Amino acid sequence: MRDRIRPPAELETSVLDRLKADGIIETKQKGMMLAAAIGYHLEGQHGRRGLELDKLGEGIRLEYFQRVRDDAFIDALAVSLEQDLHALEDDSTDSRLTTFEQLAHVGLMELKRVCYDGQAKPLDALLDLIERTISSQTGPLPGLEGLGVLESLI
Amino acid sequence: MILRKLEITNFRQIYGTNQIEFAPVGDRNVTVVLGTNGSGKTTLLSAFMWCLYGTVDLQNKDELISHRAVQDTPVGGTVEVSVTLIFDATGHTYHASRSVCMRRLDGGSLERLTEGKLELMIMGADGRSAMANEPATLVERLLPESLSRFFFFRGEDMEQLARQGSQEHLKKGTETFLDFTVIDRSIKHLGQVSDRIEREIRSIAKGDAKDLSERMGQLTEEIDDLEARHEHAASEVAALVAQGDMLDAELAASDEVRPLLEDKARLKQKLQDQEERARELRRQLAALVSSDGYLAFAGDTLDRPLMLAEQAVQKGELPAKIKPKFVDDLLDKGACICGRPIDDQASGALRVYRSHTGLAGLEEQIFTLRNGVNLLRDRRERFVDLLHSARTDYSVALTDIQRTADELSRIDSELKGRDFGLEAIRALQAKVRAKSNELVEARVLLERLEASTAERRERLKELEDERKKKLGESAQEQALTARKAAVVAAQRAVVRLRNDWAALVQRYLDMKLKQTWDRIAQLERLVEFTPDLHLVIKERGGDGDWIASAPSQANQRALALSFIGALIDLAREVAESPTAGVASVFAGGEYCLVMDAPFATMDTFFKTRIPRGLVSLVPQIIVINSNDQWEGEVASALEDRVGKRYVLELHKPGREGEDRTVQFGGRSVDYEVAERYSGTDWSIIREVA
Repeated sequence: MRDRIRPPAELETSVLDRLKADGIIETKQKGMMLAAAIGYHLEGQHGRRGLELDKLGEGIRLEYFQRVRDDAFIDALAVSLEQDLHALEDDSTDSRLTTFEQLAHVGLMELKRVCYDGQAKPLDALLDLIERTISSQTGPLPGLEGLGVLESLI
Repeated sequence: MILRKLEITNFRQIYGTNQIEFAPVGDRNVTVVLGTNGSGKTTLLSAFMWCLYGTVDLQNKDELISHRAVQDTPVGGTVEVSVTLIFDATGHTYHASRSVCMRRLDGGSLERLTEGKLELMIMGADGRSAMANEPATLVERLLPESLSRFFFFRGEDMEQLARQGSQEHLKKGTETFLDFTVIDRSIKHLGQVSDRIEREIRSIAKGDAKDLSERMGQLTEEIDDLEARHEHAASEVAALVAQGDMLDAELAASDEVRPLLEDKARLKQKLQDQEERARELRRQLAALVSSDGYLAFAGDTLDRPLMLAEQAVQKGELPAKIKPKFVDDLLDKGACICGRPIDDQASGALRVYRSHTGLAGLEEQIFTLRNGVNLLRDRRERFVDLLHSARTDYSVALTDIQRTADELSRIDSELKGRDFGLEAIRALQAKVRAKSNELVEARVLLERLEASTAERRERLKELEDERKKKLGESAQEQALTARKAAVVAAQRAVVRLRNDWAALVQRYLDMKLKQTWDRIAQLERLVEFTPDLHLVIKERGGDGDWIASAPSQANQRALALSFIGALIDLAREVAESPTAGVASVFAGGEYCLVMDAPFATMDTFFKTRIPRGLVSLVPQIIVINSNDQWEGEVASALEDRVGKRYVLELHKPGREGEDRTVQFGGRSVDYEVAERYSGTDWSIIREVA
């Protein structure tokens, strides 16, 4: 069973390292979280799984994700994309990590475009993207208003 | 000279063809041009001087042309710089224009294809026009270059005018009004005639008279030599006085600018603190984005697992009725919880049941995910709130920085580079002492030369008297002696006339200066245009007497403006005098004032009074200044007299959002425009309707 998450080698240098050097992300783990979320925002909602991964870079141990309580997001992404809670099975761990890496790949390419291909400063460009995304999301998804039922069951 | 219109094409900072139509004489006779630092305010002033006299204060002649215009021109292509000034004077309208055409060479240098010659077209009241044959001479008659500094000037030059070292400029200016050219020529000519007669006398003198003549010749040579040395020494003294004035002014300015420097230091510290706070807020924003920024993109990811779990509950899959581990334990033990052994049939049933437990086996993972997702949902909510408040704080911090930077820029513009530290002041004081010693030595030399000259003149007079007695009785000698005496007497009379006339005009200008000061400054001071052509300002001493004071920059400007006001009055009277236009070099008439930052260093008192006073005295005023210098007291004083408004819109390399607008004439106008893809600055002139 895999215990590491690995970014694409080329984007690790051209985006993750750069974002870290520019003070926008504290760690590569945080950069991968941001990238995967953006990847999901762009591709995942349409049921796509991103790109085929080519050469992978240095791995980040899963333990780092757990330490800052971000691991739930990796699982949530897999469940959301599979539309199936069975994605949480132990046997599917590798598949969940691969899904995360594919989404991160898409997100890293978007981060490169937004932060480094335009005229604005990288942080400002990213903040604008975040603001736009937040303002485009309005309230809970239809049909999910009764989530409180679950609280009483588990 | 009343201005109608100025058209500038590619002149220095000003790009393309731009026009200014000036507010005419009347109730609204003020034209205001606003421009920020570097937008070309002084360029506008230079445009007048270049057009009329061809003079421009530039070391590199290529700098005459707009960089932006050169950039637009392909290699081998030509580009033109031109200035046209249309003005009224002596009942005619004049079109003065000067232009230069240049070719752009490979490597970026420019080749001048035409020399910028002045062309002057005269249009009569009847509509007929003609080109002036000698345009430079005509312009010199309408506004002599020596007088132009009184009508087209920079604020800082005005202070110079009120300093002791400006005696020569004031002298030249007043003498131009007096039209001394012809008189000086007469004095010189009479001197030459006298010398010629003297040479004739020497050539026919005999015996003792011949000896005396030779000694007189030697003495005359010595006197000529002493006079030349005196002239040189006098100009050295004048230069030293001017330099001393400059140093004194700088020292005085150090006192004047101290409050400004203190403000500047305080604002710089404030700006540093604000910039540090902005950097800290930006670090906080980055930390926020790094920690939880991804949650902004989570969308339904944090909702779907909960939704799927709820569906499982509705289907009865959760919660599990029997835990799969419980079934596994039973099968492992091979016995029921009551201890009865499990037979094959029961074991088969349990295995079937075990294979259909569905999500029951993932209950723990789902529980963990639910907790994790709820935590993330809380984090997302907190992130959105914190992001909003951090961005607001950051935006406020940037606005604070901009405000402080604007205040600093205003102070800088008031300081005009006069930034004195303690070291600079000490160095300045040392320079003043050294210059003062030099001046004392130069004055001693001058006095010695004067004494030597006087002594030789006295001796010459004695020799001449002695020679008169020795000269023979011949008719020729008698006639030559008499002729020489007549010529010398005539020369003395003309010199006396000239001096009397100069004194008369000095007294007249002194009177006018006092009237103008009372009218425009309205401050109890005694101002004087002294017989030795100095501008002096005095204030009441402790015992009520007038004492000369070291005037502040504001007082110096007010004094200089009053003097210029007096000259404008005099120019009007020259034109109205019965001898106007007769054998006179200067025509006189009504004159406009074109002023660059005239009120910059004045205090509130003068900023209110001087503009109002000037407007009532001068037929047409053009004020070129920054928004900081204009808004407030000056704008309030002149607002109801403004007939035309323009902005020098500065385009400079910058990023989006660095544009600056100002309120002018009740409208918001572009003041600085950031050009993202430009590598050079340029300005255009826009009328504010």
